[in-house]
Amino acid sequence: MTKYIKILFWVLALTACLVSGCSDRGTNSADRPTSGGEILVTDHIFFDEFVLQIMNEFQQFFMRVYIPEVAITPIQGGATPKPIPLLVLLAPQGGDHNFYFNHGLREIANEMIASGEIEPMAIACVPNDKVFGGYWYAGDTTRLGAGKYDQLIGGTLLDFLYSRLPFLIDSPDKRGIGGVGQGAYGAFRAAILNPGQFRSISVTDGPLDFDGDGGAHGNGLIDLFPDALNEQGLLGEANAFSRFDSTTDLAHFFIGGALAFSPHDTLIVWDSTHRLDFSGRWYIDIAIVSREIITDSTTLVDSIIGAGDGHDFDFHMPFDNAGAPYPVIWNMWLDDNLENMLSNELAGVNIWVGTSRDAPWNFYDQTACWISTLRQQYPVQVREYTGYDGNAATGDQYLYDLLHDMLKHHSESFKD
Amino acid sequence: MRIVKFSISLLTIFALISPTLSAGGYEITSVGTRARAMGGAFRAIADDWTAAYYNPAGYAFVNDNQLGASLSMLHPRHEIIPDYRWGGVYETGIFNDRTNYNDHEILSSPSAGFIARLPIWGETVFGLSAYQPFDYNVSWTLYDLPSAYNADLGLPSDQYRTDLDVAAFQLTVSREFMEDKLSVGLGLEILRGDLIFNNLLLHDNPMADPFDDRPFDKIPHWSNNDGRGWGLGFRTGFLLKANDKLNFAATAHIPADITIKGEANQIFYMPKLPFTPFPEGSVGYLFTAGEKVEYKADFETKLALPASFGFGLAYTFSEKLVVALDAEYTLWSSFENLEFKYSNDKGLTGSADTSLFSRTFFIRDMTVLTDWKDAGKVMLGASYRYNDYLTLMAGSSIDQSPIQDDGLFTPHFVDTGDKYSINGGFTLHINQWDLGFVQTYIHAPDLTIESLTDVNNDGLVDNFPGDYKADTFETLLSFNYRF
Repeated sequence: MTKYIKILFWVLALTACLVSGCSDRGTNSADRPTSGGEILVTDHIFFDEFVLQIMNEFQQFFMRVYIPEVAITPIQGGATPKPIPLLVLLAPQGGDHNFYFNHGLREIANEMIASGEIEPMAIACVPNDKVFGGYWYAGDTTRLGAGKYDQLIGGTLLDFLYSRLPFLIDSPDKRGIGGVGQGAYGAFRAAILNPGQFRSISVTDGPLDFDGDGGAHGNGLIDLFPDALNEQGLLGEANAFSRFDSTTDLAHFFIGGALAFSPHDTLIVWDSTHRLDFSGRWYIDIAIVSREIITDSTTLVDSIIGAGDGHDFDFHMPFDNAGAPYPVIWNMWLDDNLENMLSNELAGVNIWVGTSRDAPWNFYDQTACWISTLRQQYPVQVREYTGYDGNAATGDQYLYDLLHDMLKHHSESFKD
Repeated sequence: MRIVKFSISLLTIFALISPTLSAGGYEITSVGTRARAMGGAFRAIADDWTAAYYNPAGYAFVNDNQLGASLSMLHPRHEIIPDYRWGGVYETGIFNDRTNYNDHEILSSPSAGFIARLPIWGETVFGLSAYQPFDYNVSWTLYDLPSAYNADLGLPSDQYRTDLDVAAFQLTVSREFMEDKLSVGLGLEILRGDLIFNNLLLHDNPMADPFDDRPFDKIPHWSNNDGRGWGLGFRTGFLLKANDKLNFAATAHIPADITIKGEANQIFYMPKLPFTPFPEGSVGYLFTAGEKVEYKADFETKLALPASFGFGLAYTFSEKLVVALDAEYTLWSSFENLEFKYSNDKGLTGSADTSLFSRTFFIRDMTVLTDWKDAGKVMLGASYRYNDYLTLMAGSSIDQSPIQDDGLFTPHFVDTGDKYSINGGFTLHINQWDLGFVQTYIHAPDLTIESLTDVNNDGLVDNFPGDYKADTFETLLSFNYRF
């Protein structure tokens, strides 16, 4: 009997091993959100802001807004959604209203909201100008060619969004702004010009300190002046500015800045008349009544930009044909340098900066200088990041990854 | 009786702790109940039809005709916790930081053999057998397209898959040269190789900035290759009965490489920008609109099969107890890579076909680096004839992994290091029938692969970082009919 019990024991033991070795452990699978927010088209005509903006005859402003599911579902059901905060993101040079969405913004927001990492928020994506470098989100009544961005970003744009999207919480504590490249400059500029309007800022490297620190972090844009001429073969050429080309990225960079900071026309008086065309549509004709200009023509570029009849906006470069700063114009740029605009406007604003040594156009050094300036008054959260083999860490290249941190920064700021 | 009990105890302890070495890689040693239960230590015993595999010389001492078969059911229960990030930081779509199991599958490996003592050439014994000397099968689901990359497409589940089968059809001839002392055997093999090899490749996006910005920096490419081929090989060995108790044996297996030819299915999962600026039909649209680009092609690759050399001894303690110890050395260094050469592509359409830029991206050969090293194998086992109806067997082994380069370790071959196996089973003897059952547990050491590497600088990652576990369970059933 003992013999058979032993045999039975071994059979059972081996069977147990067999069973334990054959159980199904399931299939690996990803956790994709099944639904999420959508992108809302919010194109609008801002007549006053863009009345004389070059290459924008109809004063159009193309914009897209991410709306989280928590807002969409009640609206579709006829109910009032829970109020949500607003984040405004400014695109870099060449980036249009789709820039952030083409870097994964919608999907990132959907995933982070679904996982509870961030609270639901609307995210308005503001375009940069494709042709001239976006004017650096700077401009006022004395710089109409660039458009009145100073009036728009922290003012009328917000008014428009709150009227169009009534589920937004209209409170500075629930409002953030961010940007990449020139958008980073624009975000800080808007926050400084509109104190108390934004609870949080998140940016990646940009032209944040025009003249650098003159030391370890270089001289900011000044170090780029020779490059801007060199890439066109114009360095040292007597007629450099009459031959200045707009087709290269660095040329775009300085043309956009020049239109914003040193346009030839410093004051324009204009008039408008309404006209009904043969198809029954109303048009507004703009006529310039008078204009004031910068009389110094040393660095004037007057043969490159044409924006239609009566809109011949020329501009002055901040450097001479030897690539050295030209003080008359350069000082105008420095007036718009963030450190010269800053006093105590960013008090209470949570600031996050993503920075990489691979950022183009001395942005890393400029960003470092700006962080240093800010830290004299405010805490600044900094993420220094690097790329991987063969993929330099420019702001755009890794924006998909940085957006996670940026959204989280704003979400936590909204909770404060 | 005391000696028997002592021997069993000693054997059991030794079997559990002995650091034997056995060839890993894609070799399989699951042929026959008795041999498998003894951890594969069977060269110097080789007294049934499975001698065709372990030592053809054993046929000469088999005194009856036999017909036998066995079925091995193997269940690799592997795990990977990937750490597959670009630069160690940036997510790739791989299921990082969580336990992933290989796809559930019970893998069967059948074998069968026939021995006939024919009155030809004196005492020569002939045998026909079929078995799998090489078999490896593992499949993984480890990746999904990031939502921001393309939420509309999905990949097949068998993204990383190796299904490699080499079946041998062997004619075995064996003859005694010194009566009841020495025999020599030779087996001529016809080898049939079948290979399904799936790979997930993440190619650099060839588009210019900003269309190659993350998460569009890499374009996933699933390559499915299904082919087959034929080859030759031979096994040889001798078996020396030194005295009534002690046997010695030596064997060699020399298979030729097999050229595998078949058809490949190539699928590229293109980036889907929410708002592509390119017009439909253009190359730019192809690389930004999130379409699936699929085509077929013929392929050819060489499957290197390693030669191996073995040595064994068996000691008969009594009529009931036999203990055996084997060693084997396998020349895995012949397996340097799997190089897939593609030709005769068909199925590309539109700009994927007409644009040189596109064709250069989509049509490319694939090299899977392996660079394996020679590996050893030692096995120890015992067989105890409990009574006329029952024989108990136990064994153990340690297999040395031929994969010793962390820079080339991938889920295609999860051989993490020296593997301990514990084998146990029994054979029921019912008249002329022997019915066998063996259970085996193979424990592999945990392995951590640290970082992504591109050994040959072709822009493609050659390894798969993460934490690996590679335990395997095996059940083997068999019968043997003597007549």
